[in-house]
Amino acid sequence: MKPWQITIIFIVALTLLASGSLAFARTRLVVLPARDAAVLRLAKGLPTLVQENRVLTLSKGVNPVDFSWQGVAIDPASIILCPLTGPDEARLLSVSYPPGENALVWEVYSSTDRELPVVISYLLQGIDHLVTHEALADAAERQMTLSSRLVLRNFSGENFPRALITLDQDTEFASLSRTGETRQIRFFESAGIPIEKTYVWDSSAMPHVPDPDGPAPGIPMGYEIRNTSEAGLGQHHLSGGKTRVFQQDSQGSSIFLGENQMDPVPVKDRTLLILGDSRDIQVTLRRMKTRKTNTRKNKAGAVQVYDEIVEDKFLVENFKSAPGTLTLRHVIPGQWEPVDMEHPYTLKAHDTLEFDIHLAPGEKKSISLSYKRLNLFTGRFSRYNRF
Amino acid sequence: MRPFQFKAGPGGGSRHWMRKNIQLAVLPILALCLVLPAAGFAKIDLSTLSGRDNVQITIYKSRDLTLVRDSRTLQFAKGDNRIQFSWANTRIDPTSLALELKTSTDLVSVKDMVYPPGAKDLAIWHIQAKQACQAQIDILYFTSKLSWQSYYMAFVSPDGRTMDLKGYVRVTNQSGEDYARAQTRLVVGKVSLLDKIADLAGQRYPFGRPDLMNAKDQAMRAAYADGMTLLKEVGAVKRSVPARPKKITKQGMSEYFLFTIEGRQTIEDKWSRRLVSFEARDIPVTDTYTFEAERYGAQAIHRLVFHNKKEDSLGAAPLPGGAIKVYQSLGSPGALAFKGADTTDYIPVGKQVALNLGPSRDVTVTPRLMKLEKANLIFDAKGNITGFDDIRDIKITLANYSGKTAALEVIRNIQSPNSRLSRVETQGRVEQTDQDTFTFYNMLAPGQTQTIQYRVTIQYRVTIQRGDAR
Repeated sequence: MKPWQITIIFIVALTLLASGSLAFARTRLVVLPARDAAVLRLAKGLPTLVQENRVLTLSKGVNPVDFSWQGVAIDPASIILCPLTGPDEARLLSVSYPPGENALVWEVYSSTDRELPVVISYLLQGIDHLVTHEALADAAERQMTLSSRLVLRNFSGENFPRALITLDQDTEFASLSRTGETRQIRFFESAGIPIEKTYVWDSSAMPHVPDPDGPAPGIPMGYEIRNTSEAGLGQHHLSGGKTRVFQQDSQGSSIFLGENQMDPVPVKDRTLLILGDSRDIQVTLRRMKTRKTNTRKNKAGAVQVYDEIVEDKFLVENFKSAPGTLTLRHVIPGQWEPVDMEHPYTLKAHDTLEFDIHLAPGEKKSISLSYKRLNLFTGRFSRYNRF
Repeated sequence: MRPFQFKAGPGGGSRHWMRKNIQLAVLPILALCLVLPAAGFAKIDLSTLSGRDNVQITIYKSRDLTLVRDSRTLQFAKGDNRIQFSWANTRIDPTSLALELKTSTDLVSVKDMVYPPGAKDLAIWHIQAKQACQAQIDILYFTSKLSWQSYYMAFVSPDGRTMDLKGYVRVTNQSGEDYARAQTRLVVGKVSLLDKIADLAGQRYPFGRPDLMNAKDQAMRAAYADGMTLLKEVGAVKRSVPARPKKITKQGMSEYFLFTIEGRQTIEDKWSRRLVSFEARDIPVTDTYTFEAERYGAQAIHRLVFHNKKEDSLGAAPLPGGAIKVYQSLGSPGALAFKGADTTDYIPVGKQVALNLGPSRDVTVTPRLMKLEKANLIFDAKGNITGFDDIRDIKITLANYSGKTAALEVIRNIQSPNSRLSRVETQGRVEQTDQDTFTFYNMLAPGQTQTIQYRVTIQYRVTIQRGDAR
């Protein structure tokens, strides 16, 4: 069995007919040019582009070069032959596809007998990649080491004994890849990356009043990192992928904190990795009052439009022996205006308020909000009250 | 790959047979070539593997997840070395495999790791050594089907004022692998996982495979796999007999809590092991009774309340969730009465716990509607009714037939934000919990009966939405 399934049969025509039409002599010299090197260009969500460097031995005139493949899936329309010389010395004249074959024939013109270095590019199926990350946070949860691994899955039917692998155009390294194997290669590591620990409570997703007899809902906790040079990153974008986060412990070992799917992080951007739930910070939201005002009625006396004053009360408890900052996200649907907000907030969207609540160890905090929902419709337009 | 078994200790009973499904082989490439013509690889095996130094297992409670750290000291030859790790018939997640070099990385570096073609449950690390050397490594991986549960037994004093609490943990191994003399750690906390470890462990290809054409080069795979031999770890595991129960140390880690069992445990596949987690005495407790018709029905619920705090003989660590059985001492040694059982959730330090011991027959709550009135009827211009006030006078009779003072909370859900409470008569106090919930708090002496009376007025108006009468 040949190690490679992709072959180039280089057919040199010894004689050419003077009429200008191409014909082959009975005697042929068949050359199998070795693959010098291959570049595997990997990009997320796109087929893998293979680029091979080969050297063709050309005679003066027009040379047919047969490129065929078996047992691999190449997109025939993607195959490109690129001579690495000037167009006056050698150039590609035509491409033809034999019927019923996984092959194509290039006609390459050469001005002299020569060895012509070329790059052959094609899209190969059955080979792709994943990126996984592993992070190790320090015991104080202030810094972490991030390492990234490429998982090269080669089920293409083709072996690449020496391949230069490029990942998203800004990372490259050499490796081999055999068909049927999955290879994991660490291609990036950076230590001392600052992390910011964050707790997020979202009123649109969390229960307002925890069930006294049921499990307490955990508050999602995660680390925020920035892809900047100040953070020891910022050299290139961080590829998206499953990220497993560990933390050093006092026993010289580590524990697993959780995993999440990291979205690609462009340079200067940030990402938040939610790792698990905190059950030492608890939030209870109670609606203390709703009161209708400014009612507008029709002639029959039925209310058509009204405003509503709402009073909500958050009780936030920190059972930890360490301080923490909770991001409390509250959603108020529809048109509204503040009446009396006890705590400063950031308006993330017209209906989304974010409160940063700093909690001392063991601290309990109560935060009351009063706001007015405006122009609430009754009847058939009531569905517009949420938008 | 067949499981390998060896006798693990004196005695030779069936429980001492231990299965080793995880195998590790180190194959210096140069040495391999030299030895290949010979019949076997015994020389290589003996010269390169020094055995397992240490195993640490960290078992998570909220997920079917265990982190295993397998420490070894390996001998590397100069040049390229391959470490083969196989895990047939286990529940290991192959995507979690990682190798950490514990000694200087100047001499030894990990090039990559390969899951070879055609081989299942097998991975090979390629390691480059600048010179022949010995190095300590840790192999980390996730596995499933190791679990632990916590449970408690509470013994309330005869006077009902204090209780002794005993916590236990039980570790169960269904992973398919024996963990001999493992440092065992237990984690309380909810970790985020994208995939179930058991699912990852069962995948044919560790990371799956892309869609592809049907092209397989079995001969190539066979050739690649050829030359590998497995080293089977042998050796007896001494069964240590502790002179006293193992201690469990506790440590907070990020949002989780780590319980480390003292010493080392041998946890054989299919076995469970129970350990005492903690023991606390004289924890102050109070009996309270909760009545909330919508949640618990017509009977008051008996609750046993205590705090997980240092002043109350607890508070050293959060208490993992688990079943708790509550007994009451009857005075004479060994005489107990079963009071009830509950399942607790995770209890943070400082948090109050109110165990639900079920309906009480000793404390009763009987609400009665004493008066119903519709008032302030409103009509629109066409004479259609558009609103009224619903006025109800409620009388609640509380009775304590127990021999102790009972703290009672009566929760009343009015189920309308447009409500008003008036004419409240109670010997206790009342609090508005939220816009449509009021809670009455009363203390009842033994044998005492009390009444609560109030009027609730609910305004119903046709104002909000069609068909929604409020």
